[in-house]
Amino acid sequence: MMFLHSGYNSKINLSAKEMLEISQEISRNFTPCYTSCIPELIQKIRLSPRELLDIGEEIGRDFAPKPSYNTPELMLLPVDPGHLHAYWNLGESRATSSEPDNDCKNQLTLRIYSQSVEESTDIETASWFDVAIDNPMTHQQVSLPRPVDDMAYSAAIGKCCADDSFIEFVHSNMIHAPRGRTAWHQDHENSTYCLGKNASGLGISK
Amino acid sequence: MMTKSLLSAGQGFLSIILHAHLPYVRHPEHDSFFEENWLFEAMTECYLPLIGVLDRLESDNVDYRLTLSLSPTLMSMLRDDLLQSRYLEHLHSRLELAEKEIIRTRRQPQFQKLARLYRRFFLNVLNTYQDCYQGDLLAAFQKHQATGKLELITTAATHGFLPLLNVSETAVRNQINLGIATFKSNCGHAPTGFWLPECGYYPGLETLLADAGIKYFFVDTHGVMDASQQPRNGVYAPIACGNGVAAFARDPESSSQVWSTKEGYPGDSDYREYYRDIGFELDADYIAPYILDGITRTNTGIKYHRVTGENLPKEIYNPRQALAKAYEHAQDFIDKRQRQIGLLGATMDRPPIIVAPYDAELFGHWWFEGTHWLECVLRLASEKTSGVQLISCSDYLKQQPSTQVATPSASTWGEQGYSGYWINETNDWIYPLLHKAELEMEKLARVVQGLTLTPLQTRALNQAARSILLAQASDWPFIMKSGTTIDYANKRITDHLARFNYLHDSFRKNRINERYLTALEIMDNIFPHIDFRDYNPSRAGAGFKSSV
Repeated sequence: MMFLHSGYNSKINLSAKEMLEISQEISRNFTPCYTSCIPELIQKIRLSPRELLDIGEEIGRDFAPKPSYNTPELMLLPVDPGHLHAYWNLGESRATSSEPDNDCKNQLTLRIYSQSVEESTDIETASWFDVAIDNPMTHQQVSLPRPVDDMAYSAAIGKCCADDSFIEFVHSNMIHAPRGRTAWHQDHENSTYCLGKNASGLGISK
Repeated sequence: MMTKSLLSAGQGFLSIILHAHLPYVRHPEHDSFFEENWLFEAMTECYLPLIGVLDRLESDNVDYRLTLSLSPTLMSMLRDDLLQSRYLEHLHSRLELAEKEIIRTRRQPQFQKLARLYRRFFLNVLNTYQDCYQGDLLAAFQKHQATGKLELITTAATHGFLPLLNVSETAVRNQINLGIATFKSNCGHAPTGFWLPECGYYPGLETLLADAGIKYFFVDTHGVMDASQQPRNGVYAPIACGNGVAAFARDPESSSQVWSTKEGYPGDSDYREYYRDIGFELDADYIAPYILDGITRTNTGIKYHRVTGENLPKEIYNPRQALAKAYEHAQDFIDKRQRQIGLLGATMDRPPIIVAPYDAELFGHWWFEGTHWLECVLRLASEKTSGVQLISCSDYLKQQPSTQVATPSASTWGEQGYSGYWINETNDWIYPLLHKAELEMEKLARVVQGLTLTPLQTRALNQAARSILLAQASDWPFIMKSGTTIDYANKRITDHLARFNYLHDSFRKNRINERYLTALEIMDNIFPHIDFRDYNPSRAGAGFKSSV
């Protein structure tokens, strides 16, 4: 069967097969595609939405972010005048080791050092408190026993020994907790301080 | 220097700042995507009506002042061809729905009146978007900036929450510098002011802002009240950080009048109820073409009820009553500022400035009448008799240089006023991953310093930097904590970090697949002029504060 053009009295007749081939060729070459708008791009590569999705999903699956266990690290982050957040990894060997060291408790300890800002370069003047941590844990929110303004904090993870010494595995960065004379104290006294960010407490449709 | 004599007794200033921001929600890999509606809803209900307000004020020759912070992600999306064309489709679909509603409600005159109102509303929006500004909202804002009445400023590149990125100064510096560069390339000039994402400040940040040429920024009330020196004028004058940068603090009173869920204006019973949308209420078959994939119920923007009151059946919305209430609230707002200024004037050595910053999307989107309220506030304040003079923070600094030197305290806006909303049990898992990726990026930038790279390698590293920036947006931990679209926030962070890992791995193994790289460039096409070399800490100034 041949099809006739609907307008302009064209004399070109097309078979169903020809129509299909033309249609397929147009689809192949002119399907809406995206090209990169990055200026350095020299050779243009056209990708359909489906191809973009497949590539995005493949990368998402094969390169999903994982915590690193290679290099020991301990990071402190300031939260509010009464809290710090610590996260760490102790490296492969420490993380898997369950052998107690001689004269040391097997319990891992997070030691938080605090010192006034003026003395923050001198570790000798720091006071500290200890927080027991479980082996599988890799992060912890730390409550400061007595929030004090203008204090610098650092931390270490290690093990406490019977002779009160501390075997340190990793030491952290140094941070300053926020001063909190107004908001923090008001909040803790259940005052009417404006807590909400906006009327609904949410951003747009988030 | 006492400059009070320049002003009549009891006169002071009001500075209103709107912060417009949305995360990067562009998804060319899908034909339609739910989160792109965040942008479309904000354009329809907030940004375009706001442009309408500015146009009317201008044509009425109203001498207003307003500051608008435009985030780089939002600017990029507003200028994006794909999103512009998708927005037009979205708007036409809303118009079609309004037409259908006029027919459906033909035997319910009160509802039909509202359906007609929505049709007019969408037509107005379409006219402003397409005919007045040819799809370019930034051009509209620039036009008003040129009058000197609107000041445009910007924020961090992807709205990264700077206090928790501060384990690397390079990360913070790049967020700031790239944000400013994006603003410059879109607006043609450098901003004077900078909106800190979530008002997140930490001591030392002012140094990076000064390096970037910024003159002022904003903190929440306690950022100034808990400053290193007791502020002589409370939050009613900026403090100088000692390096040419000033910090303005949010006024708690004007803030709670608008923000507060209890005392705030938007909760008034006459205003439109946000949570009663026909997308969730009408028959599934009828509403299917206007919701997500024809199945998942979503907001359509057509809402027929008013707030009414707690535990009461919702009554039908009355627009005339609502607009009258917005005017009343605007008058109340100005009256209260006038009283505030009167009281402050007696105790201060300079005219006070009341700083009132809000999320722009509150106006029109969450609070439908909010843009009308804002227009009334700007009109009322511009009247000579109001006793409240509108001003931008940069003009205030020119008139009243801040004299008290102090360092603000670490602070944010929002719940509890510190970083706890962005780091807690719902979202703390992201920080080791974000910090690790940043560290890897800095290592890469350092390693290749001085080497000649192929164009493909350069593209891969630039794209890796884009992936990191997109993962750093404060929106993702915010959503995780607020409990709304958590799956999407998780996916954004993990996808962007996976894309970084992929590019890092490809570069290290010298096996860069151009097709894959192009796909990532198409999907994450933000910051076209980014330079990965800025991640080299020695070039940027400083790097990672690593553990020992």
